[in-house]
Amino acid sequence: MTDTYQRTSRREGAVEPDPSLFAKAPVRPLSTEQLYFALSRASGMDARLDRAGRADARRQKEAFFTAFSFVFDDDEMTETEDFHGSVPQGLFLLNSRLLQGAVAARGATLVRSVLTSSRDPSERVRRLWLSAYAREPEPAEARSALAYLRQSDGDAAYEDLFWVLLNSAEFMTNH
Amino acid sequence: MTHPSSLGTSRRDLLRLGLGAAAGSLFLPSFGRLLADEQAAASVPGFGRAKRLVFLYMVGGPSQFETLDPKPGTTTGGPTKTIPTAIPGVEIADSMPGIAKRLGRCALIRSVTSKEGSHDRARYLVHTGFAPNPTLTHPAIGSIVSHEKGDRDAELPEFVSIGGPGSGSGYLPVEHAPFVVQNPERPIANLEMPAGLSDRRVASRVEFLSKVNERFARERGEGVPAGQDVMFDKARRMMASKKVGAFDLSSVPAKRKEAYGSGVFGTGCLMAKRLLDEGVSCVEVMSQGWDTHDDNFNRVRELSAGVDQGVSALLDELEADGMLDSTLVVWLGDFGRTPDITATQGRGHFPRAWSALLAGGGVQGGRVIGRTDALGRDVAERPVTIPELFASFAHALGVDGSREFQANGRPITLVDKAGTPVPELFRA
Repeated sequence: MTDTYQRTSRREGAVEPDPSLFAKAPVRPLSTEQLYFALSRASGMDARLDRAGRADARRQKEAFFTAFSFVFDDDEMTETEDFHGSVPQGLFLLNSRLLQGAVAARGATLVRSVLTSSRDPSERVRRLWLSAYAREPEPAEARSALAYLRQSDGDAAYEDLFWVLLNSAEFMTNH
Repeated sequence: MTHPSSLGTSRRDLLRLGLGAAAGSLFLPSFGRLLADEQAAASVPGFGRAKRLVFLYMVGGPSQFETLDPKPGTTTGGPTKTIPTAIPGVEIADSMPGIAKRLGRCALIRSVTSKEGSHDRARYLVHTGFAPNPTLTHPAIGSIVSHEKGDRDAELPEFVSIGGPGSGSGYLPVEHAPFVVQNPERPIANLEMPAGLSDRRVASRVEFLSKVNERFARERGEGVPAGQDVMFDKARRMMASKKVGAFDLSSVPAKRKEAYGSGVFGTGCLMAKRLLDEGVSCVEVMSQGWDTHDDNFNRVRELSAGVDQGVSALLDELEADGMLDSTLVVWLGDFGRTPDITATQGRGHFPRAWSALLAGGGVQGGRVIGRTDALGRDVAERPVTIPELFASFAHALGVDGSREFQANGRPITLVDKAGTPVPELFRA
C-alpha cells in the first residue's frame, strides 16, 4: 500500500486541508453492520445473549439487528465527511431498548462488570474507555469524566457516561 | 449548514467552494432555463396553489383495467364491471364507488406511460421522477417538498411515509428523508423515553456528548459531531412536541375511524390528515399487495375497497376543512398491468399505458386526460410521462423544478428537464 492509503484522519494544523491533496484520510460513518456489531460487542450484549444460553438468543439478535438496520440503512451518500443523522436514528439512539440494554448497569452487562471490578472511579473510567475506544483516557478526558460522574450519583451516572461513549463520534466512525 | 436559498453568493463563488462545502445542498439557478420556465408557468395557471402534498402509492402496480380504466366487454377487460361517475359519460370499475362519486373533484389521467417494468426501478422512477442512475441517488418527491416547502424548525418531520419504506432523500440532506411509520395502527417506535430515564438525564447525556466529541472535532473535523448535535436536537424536539399526538389514533372518535376504514391504508390516510393538520408538508401513504400476477380480479377488488374508502374519507375531510384547494393529492403505483390475462387469472407488469389520479392543490377536477385504445394496449391520445407528472407536481407546489443542485459535484435539476407541466390539469 502506498502512503496515501495509510494516512491518519488526524489533522495537522488548524486548517482543514484541501481534500484533493489527500493529505489525510476521510472520517467515514460506520456501515450499519459495523455499527451494530461494534455496539453489541462493546456493550457485552452479544456475549450476554450467548451466555444466557437462551434458545431464542439468535432470534433475539436478529430482531435487534432488523430494528437497527431499519433505522440506520438509508441511501445517504456516505463518502462525504458530512454526517447527518436522521430523526429516527436520533430517537433510536436516545430511546431504544437496544441502547438501554447496552448501557444498563443492571444484569450481566458491561457497565455492571466495570462497577463490580473496582470501587475506584478513575479505574472504572479507564475500563469504560478501554471498552469503547480500546485506548486509555487522556488525563484531561479522565478529569472531565470524573467531574461528570460527580454531578450525579450512583450507577445511573455510569450508564449515562457509557451511553455518551457509545454515541460519540470516535465510536461511531471509521477514522 | 447553510440554507441554500439564503446564499447571497455568485455562481462563481459557489463553484469555488467546490466539493467540500455541503455538496448536496447548493443549487444554482440556470438562467436561460429559468426564463423559459417562467414563461411556461405564466401560461399555465395554478402555480404554487398547493402548500402540501399527499402521495398515495399503490405498491406493486395497480391494474388500470380493474380500477380507473376498465374495458368491459372486450377480450382484455376480464369480468370487471363498471359504474357511472360524477363525470358524465365516464365510467370506472365498480370496486371504487367512492372515488366514482368524487371524480368531479379529481383529474383522471388514463395515458400515463413509462419505460420501467421492474418493481424497484419503477418505484424509484415514480418516487423521484428520474430513472435509476448508478452514479447518483435522486430525492423522493416528498423530500423535495420537505426541502422546498418545509419549515426548518418544525417539531415534526416534514415528510412522513406511512406503510413504507419508500424512497429516501437522495442527494438532499437526510433531514428531508421520510420519517417512516411502518404500521400506523401501532405506536411509533422509540418515541417514548424508556422507564428509568428522565429529561434531566437525557439532557446531561447529550450535553456531555458534545464535550467528549470536542477532542475528535479538533483533530478530525467537526462534521460528525455537528451532525450529531443536529440529529439529537431534532429528535428531542419531536419527543417534546405536543404535535406527536397526531401519530396517536387512540383518541380518534370511532365514527371518524370507520369513515376511513380499517387496515394500514385507511388508517394511514387518517394519520395523514392529522399530520397535515399539524403542518407536515408531505405525507405518503402506501397500499401494499397490488402485484397481482395471480387471482387479479378478486385481489384488486379487495384492495380497491380499502383504498376507495380511505381516499374518499381523505378527500371529504380535506374539502370540509377548506384544505383541498391547497393540498395536492396524487394516486399512483409502480406501473399498470398487462391487457392479456394469464392462465392464473393474473396480469403482468405494463408500464406502456396506465392511469393516475390527481386532486386538489390547483388541479381542476371533473376531467379525464388522455385515453388508451379500445383494448388498453397503448396510449391512443395525449401520452403523459413521469417527468411531465413531476413537472406538474412541482408546478402545483410552486417549486422551480429547473433549479440546479450540485450533487456530489455535478449539476442536477430537481425535476427531470424532459418534463413540462401538463396544462390540462390546471386550465379551467
